[in-house]
Formats: sequence, C-alpha cells, structure tokens
Amino acid sequence: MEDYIKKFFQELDAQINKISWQEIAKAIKILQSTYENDGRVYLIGNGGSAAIATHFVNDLNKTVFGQRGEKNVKRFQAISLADNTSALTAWANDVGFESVFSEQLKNFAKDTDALVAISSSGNSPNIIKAVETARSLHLPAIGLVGFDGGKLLSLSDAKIHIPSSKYSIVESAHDAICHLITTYFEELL
Amino acid sequence: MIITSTPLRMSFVGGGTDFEDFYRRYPGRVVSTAINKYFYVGVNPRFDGTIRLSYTQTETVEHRDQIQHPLIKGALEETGIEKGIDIFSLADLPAHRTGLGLGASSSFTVGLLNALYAFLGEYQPADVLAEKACQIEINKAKSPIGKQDQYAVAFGGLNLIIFNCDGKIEVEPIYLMPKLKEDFQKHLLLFFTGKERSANIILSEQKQNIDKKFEFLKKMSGMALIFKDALEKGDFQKMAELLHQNWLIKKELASGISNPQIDEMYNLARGSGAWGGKILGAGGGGFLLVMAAPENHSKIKEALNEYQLIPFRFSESGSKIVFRSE
Repeated sequence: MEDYIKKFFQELDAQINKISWQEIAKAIKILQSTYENDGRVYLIGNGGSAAIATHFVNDLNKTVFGQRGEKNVKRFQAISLADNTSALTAWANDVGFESVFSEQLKNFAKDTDALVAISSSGNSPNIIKAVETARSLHLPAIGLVGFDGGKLLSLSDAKIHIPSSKYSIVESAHDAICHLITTYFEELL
Repeated sequence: MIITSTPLRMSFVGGGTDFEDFYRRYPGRVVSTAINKYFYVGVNPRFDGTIRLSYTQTETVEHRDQIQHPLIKGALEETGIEKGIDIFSLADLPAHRTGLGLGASSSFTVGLLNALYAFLGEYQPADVLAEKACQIEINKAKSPIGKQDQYAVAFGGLNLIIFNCDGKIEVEPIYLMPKLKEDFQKHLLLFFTGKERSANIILSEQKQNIDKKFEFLKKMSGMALIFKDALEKGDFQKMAELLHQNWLIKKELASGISNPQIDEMYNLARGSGAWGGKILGAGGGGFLLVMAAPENHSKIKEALNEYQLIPFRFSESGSKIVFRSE
C-alpha cells in the first residue's frame, strides 16, 4: 500500500517538475492584463475539467480578495461557461454539443476579455470550437492541457502542458497550477 | 465608436541603443515597463464625411491630405482612411505636451493605429502595431526617435527589449514574484520637473553623435543585462547605481540632456539618501525618476517638495480596445 501511494505522488511530482514556468508566467500576465482592463475571464472544461474551471472561478473571484472582503478593491470577473445547465442543454439540444461554449462566449466576449480552456486531451470539440471563436475575436487564450497537448496546445497563447496520459495526474496538476496562480494574485493584489 | 487605451512607459536603462544607426552595428537593449498612466484614443464615423481631430488643437478638414498633425495624417495614410472620421484623444498625464519622457507620442500613435484598424473591422497584433508606429513616427513624421517606445507600449508589462543587428526586435518579458515586484515599485519615486522641452532637438543631436558615442552606447546596452540580472536578484542598490551610471553616460550624449535645474533636483535627491535616478526619456525636462530605500522617501519628498510627485504602478496591459459600440 505504501508503495502504491508513493508511486502516485512520485508520478505527479515528475510531471509537475516538467511544467514550463515561463508559460505559467505568461498566463499570469494575461490574467493580470485582463484584470487591469476590467475585462472578464471565461473558463471552460468538460467533466473533471469543468469542476476545475468552477473551482478556479471561485478562487479568482473570492479567494484572491477574500481576506479584504469589506474593502472596496477592484475584483476579478471570472465566469465558468460550464455552470449554466439551461444554456448548456439549450445549445446542446438545439445545435450540438460542440457549440455549448462557443455560443455562450459570443454573448459576452469583449476585446478586454480572456479565455481559460481546460482539457486533458486538448481535443474536445466544444473546447476547440470555443478557443477558435475566442481567437477570431482576438481574445487571448490560456490552455491547460495534458496527454500530447492536442489541438488546444497549438491554439493557446499560454500553453500549460502536463504530458502525462493519465487523467488523474493531469487534473491534479491542473488544480495545483490554478492554486499557484490564485496564490500569486493573493500576494500581488 | 471605438476607444483604445495604451500605457505610457518608464525606461530604466539602454535608451539610445534603440536607434537603427546603432543597433545595425551592435545589438541594442532596453529595460522598461509600462505604467498605469494611459493614453486614450477614440474614433467614430463622421456624419458629414469630413475629418475632425481633437487633440490640443482641433482640426476640421475635408480630406486627409489637409491634416496638420503629422502622426494622425501618417496613421490615416497607413490604414488607407481618407475621410469621414472623428478622432479624439486624452491622457492621464499632460501627455500632449512634447517631451514628457514617458513615450507619449508612441503611446498615442500605437493607440491610434489600434483604434483605426478596429474601425476598419481589422485586427493587428502588438508587434505589427509597434512596427507600423515606428514607420509613421520615424520614417513619415521624421521624428529623430528610436524604436523602444512603440514596442514597450504596444506590448505592456516589464520587458527586456532587444534590437538585433538584422533589424529584428524581440520583447522578452521579465517575470517577477509578487513581493519582488512590489518591493521594486516601493523603491521608486517619480517627480515632474515642470519643464517642457523639445525632445527632438536633443534627440537629433544624440542621433548625429552616434558615431562619437558608439562606445558609450555599447556600454549602455550591456548595462541593460546587468540591470535585469540585479532586478531578478532583488539588488535594488545595484540597480540604482546602474541608473546613476546610465544617467552620467547619457548626459554626455548631447548637450541639452541635463541642465542646472535638473542637476539641482538630482543632487537634492542624492543628498537626501537617494541611491540613483535619471531623467526619463530624451532628457532636458519631463520626469525625474529616483530610486531609494523606502525609509528615505519622506526625506527625499521633503527636499523636492516644490516638484509634483506622481504616484504610479507598473502595468501589464499593452494597447487595448476598451470600448466598442456599433
């Protein structure tokens, strides 16, 4: 049992050590610039990645400023496009599942905004379509990907890649990166 | 209507190495940051098909060719817009005055280009906006300036900008931990000298002197790397010493860069505990940047109390469309 547990953490550790710090720094720069311009940050993901998106939204919107809740400090405006069941089912039912994020993005996107796309495979059609929509609107895109990076890797401006083929490892690392970025802004803002 | 916001910039070391006459022979390097003071440029279709410009003056003309303002005329030529447009601008600092030393004319040109492309329904990334602004300012309007400002304000953030001998320009972000970034800002004070000056006269002389000053400029290019290194290590005293050396060298580059008033301001700051500093931009007036341990700031502020202190923060934002309506 001890070996089993240790092996998981060794694997996770090895993957985390491969992360390009420059790409995370690039992601931080994109988020900070969006914050400075009063822009919104849209997050998208499927399944476990949708949960990471929701979690990260909460951290950006609340945790970063949580200690100073009563002070009138400008806040992040992060929105998960995976959280609205009626919007998701409407687009999925009427148009197709690949449009659930891109169509919601079209309702909100402004020049000052940014997109964070989370996908272990980097190939989910609804994620790719949303990033293509974001690019056509000239929104910067941060990609959190796993496996071989998929299409999302090449489409992203900040490419955060965990080259493991296991969902458990990729998603754990993605969560850690979101917490790292949260901590950065907690200290900075 | 479209409104763009483009930051002003603060240059620490390496100014002068961004002139083509220099960097074609030896790589130029500049360390600079965007600050949270912005130039806002707005454009809107003009109802009667004429052109109306509003800056420190207003111009109402039938066609682009009649425009007096060289940068606006250049930007309209570059984007192929001949008439039927309203253009206005305003800034957080008196940036329409020439020679603030905060890269204001490039901030205006980049922001205007960004707005004009959006007006046409097009998009250009930061490097294209910067290079086109260089074309307009340097080649069309014949401003004797280098290329650091256009890149600094189009990209935003804190950067090492490299001007390669083959003409290629690279913007390398300098990423800092939150605490280091905060500490760096806490060591800086910005004072307005109250002087207007013509940057172009000084810069013309500086440009003509490039051969003579070639060795000086090579040294300044190297100092940009040493400054970046000291910054990443949090060695603020060393950074200030480099600013001081950079300023001493820069004063040699042309006769008008310093004057008795600026020397007095600088000496007052040094006498009150400042480690170093410099006049931002071409020199001769504009803003004095001072670097000192935070505990000495109140003494320095007191010594320079007749000059306006300008609070500021670093900014990560480059030129950005902040408003767009049909």
